[in-house]
Amino acid sequence: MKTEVTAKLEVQDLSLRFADKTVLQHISMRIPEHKITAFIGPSGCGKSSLLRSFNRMNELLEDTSTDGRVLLDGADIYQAGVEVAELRRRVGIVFQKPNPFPHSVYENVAFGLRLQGIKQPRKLDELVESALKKAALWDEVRDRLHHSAVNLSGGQQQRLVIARAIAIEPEVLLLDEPASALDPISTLKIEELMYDLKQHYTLVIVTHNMQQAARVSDYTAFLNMGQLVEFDETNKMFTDPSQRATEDYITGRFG
Amino acid sequence: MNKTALIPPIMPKQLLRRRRWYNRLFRALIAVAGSSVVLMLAALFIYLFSEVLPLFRGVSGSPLQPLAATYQANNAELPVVQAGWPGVADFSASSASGDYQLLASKNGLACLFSPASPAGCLQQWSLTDTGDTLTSLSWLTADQAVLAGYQSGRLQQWFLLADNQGNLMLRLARELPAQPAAIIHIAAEHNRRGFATLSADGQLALYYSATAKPLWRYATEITDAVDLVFSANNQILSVYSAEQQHRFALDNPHPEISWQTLWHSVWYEGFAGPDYVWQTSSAADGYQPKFSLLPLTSGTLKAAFYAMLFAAPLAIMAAIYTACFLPAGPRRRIKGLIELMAAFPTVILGFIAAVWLAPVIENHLLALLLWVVVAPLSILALAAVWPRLPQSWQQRCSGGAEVLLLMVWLVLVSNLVFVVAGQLDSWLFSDGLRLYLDQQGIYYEQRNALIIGIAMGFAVVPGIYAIADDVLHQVPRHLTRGALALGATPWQAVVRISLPLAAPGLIAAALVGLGRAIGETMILLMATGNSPVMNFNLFEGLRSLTATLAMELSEATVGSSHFRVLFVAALLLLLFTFVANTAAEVIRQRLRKKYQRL
Amino acid sequence: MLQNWFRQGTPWIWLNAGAVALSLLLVAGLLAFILMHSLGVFWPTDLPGHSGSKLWLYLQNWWLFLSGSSAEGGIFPAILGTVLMVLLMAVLVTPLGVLAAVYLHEYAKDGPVLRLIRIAVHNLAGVPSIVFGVFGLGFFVYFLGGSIDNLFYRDSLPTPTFGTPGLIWVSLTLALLTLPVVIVATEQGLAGIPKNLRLGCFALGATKAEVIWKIVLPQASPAMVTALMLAIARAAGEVAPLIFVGVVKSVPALPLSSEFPYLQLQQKITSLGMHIYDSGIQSPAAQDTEPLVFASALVLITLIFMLNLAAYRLRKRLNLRYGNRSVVE
Ligand SMILES: Nc1ncnc2c1ncn2[C@@H]1O[C@H](COP(=O)(O)OP(=O)(O)OP(=O)(O)O)[C@@H](O)[C@H]1O
Ligand SMILES: [Mg+2]
Repeated sequence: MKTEVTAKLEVQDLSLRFADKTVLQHISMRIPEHKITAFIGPSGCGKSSLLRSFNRMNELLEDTSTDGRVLLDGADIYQAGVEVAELRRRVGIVFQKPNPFPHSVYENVAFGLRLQGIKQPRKLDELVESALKKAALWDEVRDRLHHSAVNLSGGQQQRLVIARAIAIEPEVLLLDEPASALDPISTLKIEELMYDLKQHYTLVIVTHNMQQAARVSDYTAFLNMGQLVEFDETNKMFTDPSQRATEDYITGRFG
Repeated sequence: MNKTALIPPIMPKQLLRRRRWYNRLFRALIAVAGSSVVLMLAALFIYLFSEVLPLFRGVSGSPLQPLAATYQANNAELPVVQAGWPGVADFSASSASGDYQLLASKNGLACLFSPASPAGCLQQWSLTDTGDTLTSLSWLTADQAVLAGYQSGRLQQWFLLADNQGNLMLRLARELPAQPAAIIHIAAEHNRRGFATLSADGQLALYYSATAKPLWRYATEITDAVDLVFSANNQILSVYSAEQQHRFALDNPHPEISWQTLWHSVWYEGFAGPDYVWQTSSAADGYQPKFSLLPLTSGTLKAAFYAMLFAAPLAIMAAIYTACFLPAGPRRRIKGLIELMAAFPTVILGFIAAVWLAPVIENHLLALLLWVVVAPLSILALAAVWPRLPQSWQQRCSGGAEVLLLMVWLVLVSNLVFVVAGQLDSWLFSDGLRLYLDQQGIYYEQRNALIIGIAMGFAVVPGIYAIADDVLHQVPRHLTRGALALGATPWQAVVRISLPLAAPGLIAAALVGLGRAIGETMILLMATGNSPVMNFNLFEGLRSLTATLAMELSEATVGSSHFRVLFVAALLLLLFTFVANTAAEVIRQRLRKKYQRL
Repeated sequence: MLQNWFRQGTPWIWLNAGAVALSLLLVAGLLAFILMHSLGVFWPTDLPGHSGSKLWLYLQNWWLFLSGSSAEGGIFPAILGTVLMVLLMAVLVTPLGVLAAVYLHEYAKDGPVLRLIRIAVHNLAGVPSIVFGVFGLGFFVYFLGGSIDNLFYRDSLPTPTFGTPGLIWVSLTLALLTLPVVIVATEQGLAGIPKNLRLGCFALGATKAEVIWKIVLPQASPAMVTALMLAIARAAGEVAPLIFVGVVKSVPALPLSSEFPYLQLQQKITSLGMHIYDSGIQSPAAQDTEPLVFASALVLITLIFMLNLAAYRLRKRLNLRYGNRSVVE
């Protein structure tokens, strides 16, 4: 890995346990700024868990314990005294399963904005619209902004939660399989969105789609059984992986 | 993408601070609210204890500075020696009202007479049959009891009782534990049944009439005492010697309460023997209150017992049916209806039980007894003919509808039973069962434990049913399904699998019901005779702790013994239900874990 | 053959079904009994005239009964007293009960402390109501009320202002009594909210307070309303503990006034339950008032049933909304 890229997030010897089950073991990696990093790996290997540990979401689940450090712009987020709410504002996350609030579409997107103290209706309107546009949802929901978000289709819901997350302008955006419920066209839109976003933000995505990883990401990390097997530039990883396991997985021979 | 169009929503520091503060405040508020529940339960206990504790605090007394005073003997008139009484009037004691006077000589010969009609002794006898010498004699307050002290240190208590012919006479109620030296003075407290003795060696002892053990003892150096007197408020005990008044300050607010008076049988004045009595109020002044909690506790338990006898089987059987044999839809509907029982305020149940149920049952006792036998049999009969009914009938009455059928059937059978019982009643017993019972010497009160059992049973059924239904329904399905797959009938699956598994839960349900029955007030208050008797007779009334509280607490003087004894009753109720509910909750928590493991 | 029949279990199942039938009969019978005895009370049988005018008179009688003061044989003071005490109780118990439920479900960590609190809640639910009355009299009336008098109403002592049974103490005692009902029902509602919603809210940078305030509580609001209605239904029928803390047979004046603060918190009230107890059993003329007592009972039961029904409806709506998620007790 070239050293001139600055690391937005730096993971140092991170381990995570659920009750008495170790889910992540001694993971160290540097996630470069203004780049898209993709996490790939078999189901259950800990991708989502690793993603959640970047903004301390794991501690909201029962019985978890985290060891090691995660530095955001050089500051450890697991330190005592870190304002977790502010951290989560800076490091946004979109979950694997879409979870819109049972409010209107508009309120879903405005929710985070209101938390940030934005109250003026005009500014809210503007920000909501732009977030929805970015998430490629605006055209579909513009006439039902004030209808319940629960009635949207799965794919629409997924884009809605993305819109909700980017509305508050996070510095890092963590996307857990953002395109898993989308048709190819929407997927493309989301991928374009990621492309745009990376100018300003740092993105980390989890995907089971190798083509997608290869298409959009600059760096790729391959995880297996809670361990980081390989982490490198995507080009290198997909053409010349240094680990046998990585090659097997990418080429679909993983078993 | 035009990023400048967006105003970067970076929070101002101030807002951040406010949110943080708000978060902490909220957290603190919620933690306070959460722990306040525990605090409340604790406060309940602590408060009740704090009101009860003074009852059991020991008596304390301390000597005050002696005063110089010359004792003036009240120049009592020399007693008239009664005609026909052989004794010498060495001692003479007159009761507080002056209605009775007792003369006694040193050797124990005594004469009780009434100064109003001084025509000879009412009673003439010997106080002691040993060769003891009488050294002191005194009436207790209120004309009911006499104390006699002897050279040997013995102390006797005599009660004024009426014999079979209605003649008043003194009877020996108890010998109090002897003291080491002669008892030379006895002083009675004013307005209550306490008394103090002074013995020859200077030992002071304070007693209460119903308790044998002295409440307080104090060794003095006084040997030249001439009299022993209580101050008007009973707080200062004075010993007069020739030139001095030795004073002792006493702190003895609740002499009438001790473990013994609350829980043991006590021989009270005016009673023929020891008994468990609860009698707290009377118009008469100087009346001795009697605080035995046993009749009340047994009343509470009796009522709860009969209520559970009716409610527990009914509720648990109903729960078995709805949880194990009904499809989800009818089960939910029937469950809702049965739980509707809980919506009837107990004051209405009590009212109906008292003004309608009690007289009806009194008049149709035989019908009820008959019904208890016939109703289950009639259901069995229906079950027996069921398979022989046409298929179309059977199909129409399934999945909950058979309950409707059974309801109609039960109504029919009940009506029949009532008609038949009416005939039987006049045929078997000339004047009906009720009078027959009277003739047999079985006392039948209109508002009795049977009424309570039914009315209170009604009130506790929904509580037991709801829990029982839940625990039975939560038995993991795969277990019963496994049994069915092995060829067991549905009933066998229930008996072999569900019931054993859920048994602790059913016990917990019964415990919750028991707690409810123990704590029920209005039904007991309205539908019993509220007579504090002690028996488990189905046809007699009772008086519960709860009803007693409801009737008496408002009238009791704050801080009085009566007030505090009522708090003992409340504490007792709290303890009963606490034990029942904690046990039930622990059982349920265990059971829930067990279900999860299966 | 008989033995085999019993071993198969059919008769036992029938007996159990019989228990269900009997329970239902008891409910239906009691309801019918009360209706039978109360509906006809005001029917003017002894008057001549056609049934239309009779009906009019009948309704008028009901109205007089419901709106008349106790001197006129009406139960308006009792209805007003019941409604007031119950409303005040609702105001007192809701915040505390909901907050406690939130604590139990959202904040408390699983462990001995939580177990202890749960046992305390269940115990509190099982404490005999009369004991709450005793506590209310001693602690609220004498201790709290006495202290308030000492602090603020010095001038009017020794005549007590708050140191005597009154509306506020009735409501406080009821609040204590119904607290467990509110806690348990609210917690059921909280358990029905999907975890994902909470996580989504946290992910947007909300603090815990904001998550609870903006997502959890609004979602749980139907459960809270249900809880409250159950509590009100329970409180409305309660009599025994209130005898001590301020519910009396008849009151000289209503606890309302035309000037501020409009509500006389320290005044004694009368309630429907008390009315039934008193004129049904206590009063010397119980025989004559019996039909009227049935009418009062009908009013009280109608009130309670309506509340229960509303709670039942709401609970159903709630269950539909979140699907049939397993509900933790
Ligand atoms: N809340 C939880 N409690 C206990 N174990 C959990 C929890 N969430 C995840 N795990 C476990 O942690 C491990 C990693 O889970 P994770 O969700 O991170 O996998 P993943 O790589 O995202 O899988 P997928 O590709 O299927 O989403 C799994 O073995 C899972 O069983
Ligand atoms: Mg995942």
